[in-house]
Amino acid sequence: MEAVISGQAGVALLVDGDELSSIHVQDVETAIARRAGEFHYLFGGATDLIFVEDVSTEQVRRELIAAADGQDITQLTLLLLAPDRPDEIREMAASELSELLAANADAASFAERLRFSTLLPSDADVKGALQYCGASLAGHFLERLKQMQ
Amino acid sequence: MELKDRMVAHRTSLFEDNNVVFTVYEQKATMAGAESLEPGHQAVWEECEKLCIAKLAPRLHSALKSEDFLQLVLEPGLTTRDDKFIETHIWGSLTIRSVARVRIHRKRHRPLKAAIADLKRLLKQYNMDLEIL
Repeated sequence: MEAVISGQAGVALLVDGDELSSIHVQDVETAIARRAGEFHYLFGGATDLIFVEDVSTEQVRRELIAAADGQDITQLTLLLLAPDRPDEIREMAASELSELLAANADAASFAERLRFSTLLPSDADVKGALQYCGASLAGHFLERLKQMQ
Repeated sequence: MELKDRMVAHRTSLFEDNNVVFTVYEQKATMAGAESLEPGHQAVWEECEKLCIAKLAPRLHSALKSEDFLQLVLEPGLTTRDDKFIETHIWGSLTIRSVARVRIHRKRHRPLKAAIADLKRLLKQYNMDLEIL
């Protein structure tokens, strides 16, 4: 089986011979029959499409959850690094980021690959962000990001 | 997003269903040919209720409540081609000032509280509410 996975859209399209179906991150156990023409409706403007081959449905489910959580981790990381965001937002982002990194190791690694593939925003405030993290998982994650830049 | 009527009503028209599915798949016509449709398939915003009645009359009855109407005008199908709805077209551009309220339907069990709080803060600049469903 082949599949197209997007964490941004929260959707995976399964291609099994001539049969197409989609699974959605809010209910990965349910597959919905699809036609090829629906591709754009399913993924919209998502820019994170991943194409995988020789996979099982279970693998696709796992990859989809990791990709969706990975996108959440990325979003929280960017909020935490944004110098123009108020303290309470950045504190909240740091706390949620630590929880998410602890809950899904696959997603953490997915988000790392995503962030390592591009430079941080030019105004990213790593030093400031680390102050909101302390010795948490979010802090370790940011340190690694910083080292890999 | 919920739009402000006064910013869009005068430039909004409606079609009885998915325009492409109706015209190309059901009527076997071209989109250009659809301009000469018989009356009863489309309406301007001020007459939207007439279009709804023309389409949905057989399914309307006195026991229906206003909250039931949403399910009549927007019925998700098994595929997007099977979705049934009344389509609206807004002529021209939209800016943030045309938006009255933002609703987020996050289906996952874990909302991103920081992102939601940040969005609320940004929308507040435009006196806009954020509703999480």
